[in-house]
Amino acid sequence: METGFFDLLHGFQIALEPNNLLWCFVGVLVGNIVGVLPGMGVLSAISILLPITFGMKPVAAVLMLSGIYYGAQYGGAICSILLNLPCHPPHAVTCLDGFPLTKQGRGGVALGITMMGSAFGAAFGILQMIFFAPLVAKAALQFGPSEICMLMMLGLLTGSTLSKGSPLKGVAMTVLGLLLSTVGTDLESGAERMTFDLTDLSDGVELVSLSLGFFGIAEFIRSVNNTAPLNLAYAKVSMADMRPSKAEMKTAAFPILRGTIIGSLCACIPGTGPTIASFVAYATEKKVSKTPEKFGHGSIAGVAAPEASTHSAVQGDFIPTMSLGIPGDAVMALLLGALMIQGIAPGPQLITQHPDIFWGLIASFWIGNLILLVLNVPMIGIWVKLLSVPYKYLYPSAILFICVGVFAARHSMFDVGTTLFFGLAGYALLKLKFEPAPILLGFVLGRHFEESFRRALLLSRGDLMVFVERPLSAFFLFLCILLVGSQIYFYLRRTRAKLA
Amino acid sequence: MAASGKQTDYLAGAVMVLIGAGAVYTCTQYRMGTLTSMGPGFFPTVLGVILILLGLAIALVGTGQAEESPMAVLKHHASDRFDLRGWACIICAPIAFILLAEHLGFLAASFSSVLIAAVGDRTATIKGSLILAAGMTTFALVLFVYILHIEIPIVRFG
Repeated sequence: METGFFDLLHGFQIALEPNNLLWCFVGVLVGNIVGVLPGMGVLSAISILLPITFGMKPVAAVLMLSGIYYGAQYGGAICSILLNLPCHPPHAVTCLDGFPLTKQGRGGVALGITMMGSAFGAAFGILQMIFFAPLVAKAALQFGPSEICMLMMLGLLTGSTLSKGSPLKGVAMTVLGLLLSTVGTDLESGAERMTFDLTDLSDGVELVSLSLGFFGIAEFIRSVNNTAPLNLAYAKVSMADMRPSKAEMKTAAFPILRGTIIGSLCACIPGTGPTIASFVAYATEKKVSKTPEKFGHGSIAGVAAPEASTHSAVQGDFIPTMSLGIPGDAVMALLLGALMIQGIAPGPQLITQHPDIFWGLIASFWIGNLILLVLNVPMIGIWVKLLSVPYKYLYPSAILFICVGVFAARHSMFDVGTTLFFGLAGYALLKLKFEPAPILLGFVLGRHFEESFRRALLLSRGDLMVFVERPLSAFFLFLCILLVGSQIYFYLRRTRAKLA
Repeated sequence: MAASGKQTDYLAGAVMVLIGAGAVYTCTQYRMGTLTSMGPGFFPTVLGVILILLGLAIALVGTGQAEESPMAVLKHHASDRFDLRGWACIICAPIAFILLAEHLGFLAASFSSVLIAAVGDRTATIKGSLILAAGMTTFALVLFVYILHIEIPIVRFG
């Protein structure tokens, strides 16, 4: 514990270096802007800025990219509460009570409560990371290739089955992502595969073009001329409106606490993340409330709990990513991809081998959240103004940024072309009701997964039983089977209920 | 294009089967190897087979997506219809960027790609789109070329 404290102090030293502080600020600022702008996604924002980080030091790169992620959560709440626009999935549920509050003229209070809940939830999430991530990593250091392989399989399965949409389709998307990761040069034999004889593909598919195709171009094609009209009538808030009364703070206190705990629990299960956390928190709050009829008509608790849970889940999301090298969702997959591009192998050894990254990141969470509070409370007026930037100006600018960003990643126009290809493919998949996020999960983990699978079987001389004979790997495999089994069980129960 | 849930499932499953079969077919030209020492074709072939099976499951068992999930109530999109003008413009914008950046340089590429993308919106005006294109080009020039030093010729001929 003692060492943990000094590590954290060291982390602050790193995060407070002017260069790192600047990038942390840039990250949370961009995140906040992206969160407020209706129709912009966190994934595309991170991907656009990813190529810029190639020339930066790993610490600065990670601080900035993570800053975008949690910064966007602050902005997303403003968008949900004042405009009734669920542009960021974790904040969708906040609309239900946030917007009615706004209509009653209490939007400022809703935002104030949100900020309090966010800060509390985030602080709890960061503490959780400080205590748990090193423990988890320590336990995971003893894993051999077969354990790592099974753990990754578990991560991929939870990531694809527990997120939005049909579990079957989610798994299909993960497998598609794994398949895309095999494009390029085979790491052991050096042979080129799945490249269709295109030399530009011999280094594999570029992560940036994959994610900007699926989450940028495809999303724009779907949204153009297709967005819900903005209702700006109520979007007027000043800082003075944001101060909640004593009574309102009292009603919000326990929902914030409950939301925070739900969020941190959800963060422990890979694949659930902030969106699920916010829905669970809302449902729980409605159940325990003495006035459930108020929900949906502007209940303070209905805003406080999901927002607090989102923020604690967002911070907790970093635990499996940083301690095991297994991302819980697409955003974390991108972050992991950024680390890999920097030449840092993610996994349990990250905390000991690169303590500057891990502890610097944690310290930057504290600093970043503080910056966000300063940005959001006194400057709320500016953010509210940003809400009215129409989509028709946003997406053309974003397309330009995507083109330049993808080009900059490898100085290759071919990659801009593949981005367009993935955009079209992504749009087709969206039309077929696939949720493309797990593709990124599979793609980022793919190479590592194949490598550990091959190594495990090499060590066991081709005996598949190695996955069952080693107790921990068998345990992870058992969890995988349990997960798949429960999905089948729920499916059967649903169809039986329909027949009856 | 209002496909019912069942039709979407059939189509979605078929697409997955096709991609999986394509992967398996492509992998026939690579060495499979044995379990102890796998060749480059092993892993993708296994994935292809799994994808085929998943595709069959999606098509035959279905995903039951006809029922509305609680999240479906909150949607950012007004409808899910297909918009040809927006679609065409968004596709043409990166193509214009690729072609013009190679031949006329960054300024022309940036200006035209923003302009083309902007007119995809049905409420866009010519004047507004031109201003947006000019503004974004200036901004991108300063940010990418002067601040971030991305190596791309600003103006070139041929």
